[in-house]
Amino acid sequence: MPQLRQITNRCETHELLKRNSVKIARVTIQMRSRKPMKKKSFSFAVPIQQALMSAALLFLSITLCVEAFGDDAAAKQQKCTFQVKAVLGFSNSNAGGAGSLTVEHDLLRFENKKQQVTLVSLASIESVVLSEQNKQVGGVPMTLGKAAVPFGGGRVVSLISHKKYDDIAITYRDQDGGIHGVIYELPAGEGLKLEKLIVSHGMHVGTQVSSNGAADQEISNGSK
Amino acid sequence: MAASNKDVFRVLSVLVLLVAQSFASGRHSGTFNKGSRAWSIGDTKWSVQVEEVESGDVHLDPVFRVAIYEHLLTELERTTYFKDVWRSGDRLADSEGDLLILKVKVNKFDAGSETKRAVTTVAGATKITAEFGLETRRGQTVKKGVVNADVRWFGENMKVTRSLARNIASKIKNSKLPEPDVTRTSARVH
Repeated sequence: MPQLRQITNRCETHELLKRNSVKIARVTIQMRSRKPMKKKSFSFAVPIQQALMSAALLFLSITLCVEAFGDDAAAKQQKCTFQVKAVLGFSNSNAGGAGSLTVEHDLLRFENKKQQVTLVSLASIESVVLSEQNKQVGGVPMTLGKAAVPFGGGRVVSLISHKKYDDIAITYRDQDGGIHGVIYELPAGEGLKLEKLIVSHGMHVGTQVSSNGAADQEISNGSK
Repeated sequence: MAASNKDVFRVLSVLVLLVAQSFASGRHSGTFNKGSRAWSIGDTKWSVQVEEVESGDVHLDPVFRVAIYEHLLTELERTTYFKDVWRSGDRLADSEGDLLILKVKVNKFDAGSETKRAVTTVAGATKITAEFGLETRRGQTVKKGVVNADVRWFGENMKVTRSLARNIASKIKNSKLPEPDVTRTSARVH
Protein backbone atom coordinates (compact mmCIF):
# COMPACT_ATOMS: atom_id res chain seq x y z
CA MET A 1 0.00 0.00 0.00
CA PRO A 2 1.64 3.22 -1.05
CA GLN A 3 2.43 5.79 1.65
CA LEU A 4 0.50 8.86 1.22
CA ARG A 5 2.49 12.05 2.05
CA GLN A 6 0.04 14.53 1.03
CA ILE A 7 -3.52 14.12 0.79
CA THR A 8 -5.45 16.85 -0.70
CA ASN A 9 -9.07 16.83 -0.53
CA ARG A 10 -10.70 18.99 -2.97
CA CYS A 11 -14.32 19.34 -2.88
CA GLU A 12 -15.88 20.72 -5.88
CA THR A 13 -19.48 21.49 -5.65
CA HIS A 14 -21.06 21.97 -8.93
CA GLU A 15 -23.72 24.50 -8.97
CA LEU A 16 -26.82 23.83 -10.76
CA LEU A 17 -25.93 23.92 -14.40
CA LYS A 18 -29.11 25.34 -15.57
CA ARG A 19 -32.04 26.49 -13.62
CA ASN A 20 -34.82 23.95 -13.41
CA SER A 21 -32.89 21.53 -15.53
CA VAL A 22 -30.55 19.87 -13.01
CA LYS A 23 -32.10 18.26 -9.99
CA ILE A 24 -28.99 17.12 -8.12
CA ALA A 25 -25.72 18.59 -6.84
CA ARG A 26 -22.57 16.58 -7.40
CA VAL A 27 -19.71 16.41 -4.90
CA THR A 28 -16.37 15.09 -6.13
CA ILE A 29 -13.51 14.16 -3.80
CA GLN A 30 -10.06 13.70 -5.31
CA MET A 31 -7.22 11.95 -3.43
CA ARG A 32 -3.59 12.48 -4.46
CA SER A 33 -0.54 10.48 -3.40
CA ARG A 34 3.23 10.83 -4.10
CA LYS A 35 3.07 8.57 -6.94
CA PRO A 36 0.56 9.42 -9.36
CA MET A 37 -2.25 7.28 -8.51
CA LYS A 38 -5.11 6.39 -10.39
CA LYS A 39 -7.44 9.15 -9.90
CA LYS A 40 -10.18 8.03 -7.76
CA SER A 41 -13.24 9.97 -8.01
CA PHE A 42 -16.59 9.22 -6.84
CA SER A 43 -19.71 11.20 -6.65
CA PHE A 44 -22.94 10.94 -4.90
CA ALA A 45 -26.18 12.58 -5.56
CA VAL A 46 -28.01 14.61 -2.96
CA PRO A 47 -31.62 15.32 -3.52
CA ILE A 48 -32.28 19.02 -3.88
CA GLN A 49 -34.82 19.03 -1.07
CA GLN A 50 -32.23 17.61 1.33
CA ALA A 51 -29.66 20.18 0.26
CA LEU A 52 -32.11 22.99 0.78
CA MET A 53 -33.07 21.63 4.18
CA SER A 54 -29.47 21.46 5.31
CA ALA A 55 -28.86 24.97 4.05
CA ALA A 56 -31.90 26.19 5.96
CA LEU A 57 -30.69 24.47 9.14
CA LEU A 58 -27.26 26.02 8.70
CA PHE A 59 -28.83 29.46 8.27
CA LEU A 60 -30.97 28.91 11.35
CA SER A 61 -28.00 27.93 13.48
CA ILE A 62 -26.05 30.99 12.30
CA THR A 63 -29.02 33.20 13.10
CA LEU A 64 -29.26 31.72 16.58
CA CYS A 65 -25.56 32.32 17.15
CA VAL A 66 -25.88 35.93 16.02
CA GLU A 67 -28.87 36.37 18.32
CA ALA A 68 -26.95 34.96 21.24
CA PHE A 69 -23.94 37.19 20.62
CA GLY A 70 -26.25 40.11 19.91
CA ASP A 71 -27.81 39.82 23.36
CA ASP A 72 -24.36 40.05 24.88
CA ALA A 73 -23.60 43.12 22.81
CA ALA A 74 -26.88 44.70 23.82
CA ALA A 75 -26.10 44.01 27.46
CA LYS A 76 -22.76 45.71 27.03
CA GLN A 77 -24.37 48.68 25.31
CA GLN A 78 -27.11 49.15 27.87
CA LYS A 79 -25.57 52.46 28.83
CA CYS A 80 -25.57 54.76 25.83
CA THR A 81 -24.90 58.47 26.04
CA PHE A 82 -26.02 61.22 23.69
CA GLN A 83 -24.86 64.81 23.75
CA VAL A 84 -28.06 66.85 23.65
CA LYS A 85 -29.42 70.29 24.30
CA ALA A 86 -32.51 70.48 26.51
CA VAL A 87 -34.80 72.88 24.71
CA LEU A 88 -37.61 72.90 27.26
CA GLY A 89 -39.46 70.77 29.74
CA PHE A 90 -37.32 69.94 32.72
CA SER A 91 -37.90 72.25 35.64
CA ASN A 92 -34.52 71.75 37.24
CA SER A 93 -32.45 72.38 34.16
CA ASN A 94 -32.17 75.69 32.40
CA ALA A 95 -33.84 75.86 29.04
CA GLY A 96 -31.26 75.45 26.34
CA GLY A 97 -28.84 73.81 28.67
CA ALA A 98 -26.49 71.38 27.04
CA GLY A 99 -25.83 68.09 28.68
CA SER A 100 -25.73 64.36 28.25
CA LEU A 101 -28.69 62.07 27.88
CA THR A 102 -28.12 58.52 28.96
CA VAL A 103 -30.31 55.48 28.59
CA GLU A 104 -29.32 52.94 31.19
CA HIS A 105 -31.38 49.94 32.17
CA ASP A 106 -34.88 51.37 32.67
CA LEU A 107 -33.99 55.02 33.19
CA LEU A 108 -33.57 58.05 31.00
CA ARG A 109 -30.96 60.19 32.71
CA PHE A 110 -30.22 63.78 31.76
CA GLU A 111 -27.31 65.62 33.31
CA ASN A 112 -26.52 69.18 32.33
CA LYS A 113 -23.23 71.00 32.75
CA LYS A 114 -24.30 72.26 36.17
CA GLN A 115 -24.37 68.66 37.35
CA GLN A 116 -28.16 68.74 37.72
CA VAL A 117 -29.54 65.29 37.12
CA THR A 118 -33.05 64.41 36.04
CA LEU A 119 -34.24 60.84 35.93
CA VAL A 120 -37.24 59.61 34.01
CA SER A 121 -38.39 56.03 34.18
CA LEU A 122 -38.73 54.49 30.74
CA ALA A 123 -41.92 52.83 31.91
CA SER A 124 -43.50 56.25 32.51
CA ILE A 125 -42.79 57.46 28.99
CA GLU A 126 -45.95 57.77 26.94
CA SER A 127 -44.65 58.85 23.59
CA VAL A 128 -41.47 59.74 21.78
CA VAL A 129 -41.66 61.91 18.70
CA LEU A 130 -38.80 62.59 16.34
CA SER A 131 -38.76 65.57 14.04
CA GLU A 132 -36.14 66.96 11.70
CA GLN A 133 -35.62 70.71 11.91
CA ASN A 134 -33.46 73.30 10.23
CA LYS A 135 -32.06 76.50 11.70
CA GLN A 136 -29.60 79.28 11.10
CA VAL A 137 -26.36 79.03 12.99
CA GLY A 138 -24.52 81.74 14.86
CA GLY A 139 -27.38 83.25 16.82
CA VAL A 140 -27.68 87.01 17.31
CA PRO A 141 -24.02 87.88 16.54
CA MET A 142 -24.22 86.10 13.22
CA THR A 143 -27.53 87.78 12.42
CA LEU A 144 -26.09 91.22 13.16
CA GLY A 145 -23.02 90.39 11.12
CA LYS A 146 -25.12 89.35 8.17
CA ALA A 147 -27.16 92.52 8.44
CA ALA A 148 -23.95 94.57 8.32
CA VAL A 149 -22.74 93.01 5.08
CA PRO A 150 -23.37 95.51 2.25
CA PHE A 151 -25.33 94.87 -0.92
CA GLY A 152 -27.34 92.09 0.65
CA GLY A 153 -24.35 89.82 1.04
CA GLY A 154 -25.74 88.61 4.34
CA ARG A 155 -28.56 86.91 2.54
CA VAL A 156 -26.09 84.85 0.56
CA VAL A 157 -24.39 83.89 3.79
CA SER A 158 -27.77 82.80 5.14
CA LEU A 159 -28.07 80.33 2.30
CA ILE A 160 -25.12 78.36 3.61
CA SER A 161 -25.16 79.13 7.32
CA HIS A 162 -27.89 76.76 8.33
CA LYS A 163 -27.77 73.31 9.79
CA LYS A 164 -30.10 70.40 10.22
CA TYR A 165 -30.80 68.92 13.60
CA ASP A 166 -33.17 66.48 15.22
CA ASP A 167 -35.74 67.42 17.81
CA ILE A 168 -37.00 64.63 19.98
CA ALA A 169 -40.04 65.22 22.16
CA ILE A 170 -40.70 62.83 25.01
CA THR A 171 -43.92 62.89 26.99
CA TYR A 172 -44.14 61.06 30.27
CA ARG A 173 -46.34 60.93 33.36
CA ASP A 174 -45.14 61.90 36.80
CA GLN A 175 -46.10 60.12 40.01
CA ASP A 176 -49.40 62.01 40.23
CA GLY A 177 -50.32 61.26 36.64
CA GLY A 178 -49.52 64.69 35.26
CA ILE A 179 -48.19 64.75 31.73
CA HIS A 180 -44.79 66.33 31.16
CA GLY A 181 -43.17 67.05 27.84
CA VAL A 182 -39.48 67.45 27.25
CA ILE A 183 -37.76 68.39 24.03
CA TYR A 184 -34.15 67.64 23.26
CA GLU A 185 -32.10 68.87 20.36
CA LEU A 186 -29.64 66.41 18.89
CA PRO A 187 -27.25 66.51 15.95
CA ALA A 188 -28.82 65.31 12.70
CA GLY A 189 -29.08 61.55 12.65
CA GLU A 190 -28.57 61.08 16.37
CA GLY A 191 -32.29 61.31 17.04
CA LEU A 192 -32.91 58.16 15.08
CA LYS A 193 -30.31 56.31 17.14
CA LEU A 194 -31.92 57.46 20.38
CA GLU A 195 -35.29 56.47 19.05
CA LYS A 196 -34.04 53.01 18.14
CA LEU A 197 -32.49 52.66 21.56
CA ILE A 198 -35.76 53.50 23.26
CA VAL A 199 -37.54 51.10 20.93
CA SER A 200 -35.15 48.39 22.03
CA HIS A 201 -36.38 48.98 25.57
CA GLY A 202 -39.87 47.88 24.70
CA MET A 203 -41.60 50.85 23.14
CA HIS A 204 -43.97 50.57 20.21
CA VAL A 205 -43.61 52.80 17.20
CA GLY A 206 -46.49 54.66 15.67
CA THR A 207 -46.51 57.02 12.74
CA GLN A 208 -47.57 60.60 12.79
CA VAL A 209 -47.56 63.02 9.92
CA SER A 210 -45.47 66.11 10.47
CA SER A 211 -46.14 69.62 9.29
CA ASN A 212 -44.04 69.06 6.22
CA GLY A 213 -46.13 66.13 5.16
CA ALA A 214 -43.35 63.70 5.91
CA ALA A 215 -44.09 60.85 8.25
CA ASP A 216 -42.66 61.38 11.69
CA GLN A 217 -42.38 58.43 13.94
CA GLU A 218 -44.14 58.49 17.22
CA ILE A 219 -43.28 55.90 19.78
CA SER A 220 -45.79 55.04 22.40
CA ASN A 221 -45.40 52.89 25.42
CA GLY A 222 -46.73 49.46 24.92
CA SER A 223 -47.45 48.99 28.59
CA LYS A 224 -50.19 51.58 28.54
CA MET B 1 -42.37 126.76 58.32
CA ALA B 2 -41.72 123.47 60.10
CA ALA B 3 -45.35 123.27 61.12
CA SER B 4 -46.49 123.66 57.53
CA ASN B 5 -44.28 120.77 56.48
CA LYS B 6 -45.82 118.58 59.15
CA ASP B 7 -49.30 119.48 57.87
CA VAL B 8 -48.33 118.49 54.37
CA PHE B 9 -47.08 115.11 55.58
CA ARG B 10 -50.26 114.55 57.58
CA VAL B 11 -52.42 115.32 54.56
CA LEU B 12 -50.32 113.01 52.40
CA SER B 13 -50.49 110.18 54.91
CA VAL B 14 -54.29 110.52 55.11
CA LEU B 15 -54.50 110.47 51.33
CA VAL B 16 -52.35 107.34 51.14
CA LEU B 17 -54.50 105.65 53.74
CA LEU B 18 -57.65 106.56 51.83
CA VAL B 19 -56.27 105.22 48.56
CA ALA B 20 -55.14 102.02 50.25
CA GLN B 21 -58.56 101.57 51.82
CA SER B 22 -60.30 102.10 48.50
CA PHE B 23 -58.12 99.45 46.84
CA ALA B 24 -58.73 97.06 49.70
CA SER B 25 -62.49 97.60 49.70
CA GLY B 26 -62.57 97.10 45.94
CA ARG B 27 -60.82 93.78 46.27
CA HIS B 28 -63.11 92.48 49.00
CA SER B 29 -66.26 93.44 47.15
CA GLY B 30 -65.24 91.25 44.22
CA THR B 31 -64.41 93.81 41.59
CA PHE B 32 -61.94 93.36 38.83
CA ASN B 33 -58.71 94.97 39.90
CA LYS B 34 -57.04 96.39 36.82
CA GLY B 35 -53.86 97.12 38.72
CA SER B 36 -53.04 93.51 39.35
CA ARG B 37 -55.42 92.24 36.68
CA ALA B 38 -56.33 89.37 38.91
CA TRP B 39 -59.93 88.44 39.51
CA SER B 40 -60.35 87.48 43.09
CA ILE B 41 -63.37 86.92 45.24
CA GLY B 42 -62.27 87.27 48.81
CA ASP B 43 -59.09 85.26 48.72
CA THR B 44 -60.17 82.58 46.28
CA LYS B 45 -59.19 82.29 42.64
CA TRP B 46 -59.78 79.79 39.93
CA SER B 47 -57.31 77.04 39.32
CA VAL B 48 -56.65 75.81 35.83
CA GLN B 49 -55.75 72.47 34.35
CA VAL B 50 -54.09 72.52 30.94
CA GLU B 51 -55.10 69.72 28.61
CA GLU B 52 -52.87 68.40 25.87
CA VAL B 53 -52.96 70.39 22.65
CA GLU B 54 -55.12 69.00 19.88
CA SER B 55 -54.18 69.45 16.27
CA GLY B 56 -57.18 67.86 14.59
CA ASP B 57 -56.72 67.59 10.84
CA VAL B 58 -53.96 70.18 10.79
CA HIS B 59 -50.51 68.85 9.96
CA LEU B 60 -48.85 70.18 13.09
CA ASP B 61 -45.40 68.98 13.93
CA PRO B 62 -45.84 66.82 17.05
CA VAL B 63 -42.83 68.46 18.65
CA PHE B 64 -44.59 71.79 18.33
CA ARG B 65 -47.63 70.34 20.08
CA VAL B 66 -45.54 69.36 23.08
CA ALA B 67 -43.81 72.75 23.05
CA ILE B 68 -47.13 74.64 23.09
CA TYR B 69 -48.33 72.55 26.04
CA GLU B 70 -45.20 73.19 28.08
CA HIS B 71 -45.09 76.89 27.21
CA LEU B 72 -48.74 77.25 28.19
CA LEU B 73 -48.00 75.88 31.64
CA THR B 74 -45.08 78.24 32.05
CA GLU B 75 -46.87 81.33 30.80
CA LEU B 76 -50.02 80.71 32.82
CA GLU B 77 -47.96 80.25 35.95
CA ARG B 78 -46.09 83.43 35.18
CA THR B 79 -49.28 85.49 35.00
CA THR B 80 -50.16 84.56 38.63
CA TYR B 81 -53.75 84.86 37.46
CA PHE B 82 -54.73 81.43 38.65
CA LYS B 83 -54.33 79.97 42.09
CA ASP B 84 -52.80 76.78 40.73
CA VAL B 85 -51.83 75.56 37.31
CA TRP B 86 -52.21 71.81 36.91
CA ARG B 87 -50.89 69.51 34.28
CA SER B 88 -53.18 67.29 32.24
CA GLY B 89 -54.06 64.09 34.05
CA ASP B 90 -52.79 65.25 37.44
CA ARG B 91 -54.80 63.44 40.11
CA LEU B 92 -54.19 66.17 42.66
CA ALA B 93 -56.34 68.51 40.58
CA ASP B 94 -59.38 66.35 41.34
CA SER B 95 -59.52 67.73 44.84
CA GLU B 96 -59.45 71.28 43.54
CA GLY B 97 -62.75 73.04 44.12
CA ASP B 98 -62.82 75.78 41.53
CA LEU B 99 -61.11 74.25 38.56
CA LEU B 100 -61.19 75.39 34.97
CA ILE B 101 -59.96 73.19 32.15
CA LEU B 102 -58.06 74.85 29.34
CA LYS B 103 -58.38 73.18 25.96
CA VAL B 104 -56.38 74.34 22.97
CA LYS B 105 -56.96 73.23 19.40
CA VAL B 106 -54.76 74.29 16.53
CA ASN B 107 -56.78 75.35 13.52
CA LYS B 108 -54.07 76.43 11.12
CA PHE B 109 -50.35 75.95 10.92
CA ASP B 110 -47.82 77.11 8.37
CA ALA B 111 -44.39 75.70 9.10
CA GLY B 112 -42.38 78.34 7.23
CA SER B 113 -38.60 78.30 7.11
CA GLU B 114 -35.98 80.24 9.00
CA THR B 115 -33.60 80.14 6.04
CA LYS B 116 -36.27 81.52 3.74
CA ARG B 117 -36.88 84.33 6.19
CA ALA B 118 -33.19 85.10 6.42
CA VAL B 119 -32.72 85.14 2.66
CA THR B 120 -35.89 86.82 1.44
CA THR B 121 -37.13 88.72 4.51
CA VAL B 122 -40.72 88.62 3.29
CA ALA B 123 -41.26 84.89 2.78
CA GLY B 124 -41.05 81.87 5.04
CA ALA B 125 -43.07 83.13 7.98
CA THR B 126 -44.18 80.54 10.51
CA LYS B 127 -47.83 81.09 11.38
CA ILE B 128 -50.19 79.37 13.72
CA THR B 129 -53.82 79.90 14.62
CA ALA B 130 -55.44 78.19 17.57
CA GLU B 131 -58.67 78.37 19.47
CA PHE B 132 -58.83 77.93 23.20
CA GLY B 133 -61.63 77.32 25.62
CA LEU B 134 -61.85 77.50 29.38
CA GLU B 135 -64.42 75.05 30.64
CA THR B 136 -65.70 74.02 34.02
CA ARG B 137 -65.76 70.40 35.01
CA ARG B 138 -69.37 70.17 33.91
CA GLY B 139 -68.44 71.30 30.43
CA GLN B 140 -69.73 74.86 30.74
CA THR B 141 -67.59 77.18 28.62
CA VAL B 142 -66.45 80.17 30.61
CA LYS B 143 -64.18 81.78 28.08
CA LYS B 144 -63.15 81.02 24.55
CA GLY B 145 -61.27 82.77 21.82
CA VAL B 146 -59.01 82.52 18.82
CA VAL B 147 -55.35 83.42 18.99
CA ASN B 148 -52.71 83.90 16.31
CA ALA B 149 -48.95 83.86 16.51
CA ASP B 150 -46.18 84.07 13.96
CA VAL B 151 -42.46 84.39 13.43
CA ARG B 152 -41.84 86.80 10.56
CA TRP B 153 -38.29 88.07 10.96
CA PHE B 154 -35.76 86.44 13.20
CA GLY B 155 -35.73 83.32 15.27
CA GLU B 156 -36.39 79.64 14.98
CA ASN B 157 -39.72 78.19 13.95
CA MET B 158 -40.16 76.85 17.45
CA LYS B 159 -40.42 80.41 18.71
CA VAL B 160 -43.98 80.49 17.45
CA THR B 161 -45.07 78.05 20.16
CA ARG B 162 -43.98 80.41 22.91
CA SER B 163 -45.65 83.36 21.20
CA LEU B 164 -48.89 81.41 20.95
CA ALA B 165 -48.79 80.35 24.60
CA ARG B 166 -48.00 83.89 25.66
CA ASN B 167 -50.89 85.28 23.61
CA ILE B 168 -53.32 82.76 25.07
CA ALA B 169 -52.17 83.51 28.61
CA SER B 170 -52.40 87.22 27.94
CA LYS B 171 -55.91 86.92 26.55
CA ILE B 172 -57.05 84.91 29.54
CA LYS B 173 -55.39 87.30 31.93
CA ASN B 174 -57.15 90.29 30.40
CA SER B 175 -60.56 88.62 30.44
CA LYS B 176 -63.12 88.80 33.18
CA LEU B 177 -64.04 85.40 34.46
CA PRO B 178 -67.21 84.76 36.43
CA GLU B 179 -67.09 84.09 40.12
CA PRO B 180 -66.40 80.46 40.93
CA ASP B 181 -69.36 80.16 43.32
CA VAL B 182 -71.83 81.61 40.81
CA THR B 183 -70.72 79.16 38.17
CA ARG B 184 -71.13 76.25 40.51
CA THR B 185 -74.60 77.41 41.53
CA SER B 186 -75.72 77.85 37.95
CA ALA B 187 -74.30 74.48 37.11
CA ARG B 188 -76.38 72.95 39.89
CA VAL B 189 -79.56 74.62 38.63
CA HIS B 190 -78.99 73.36 35.11
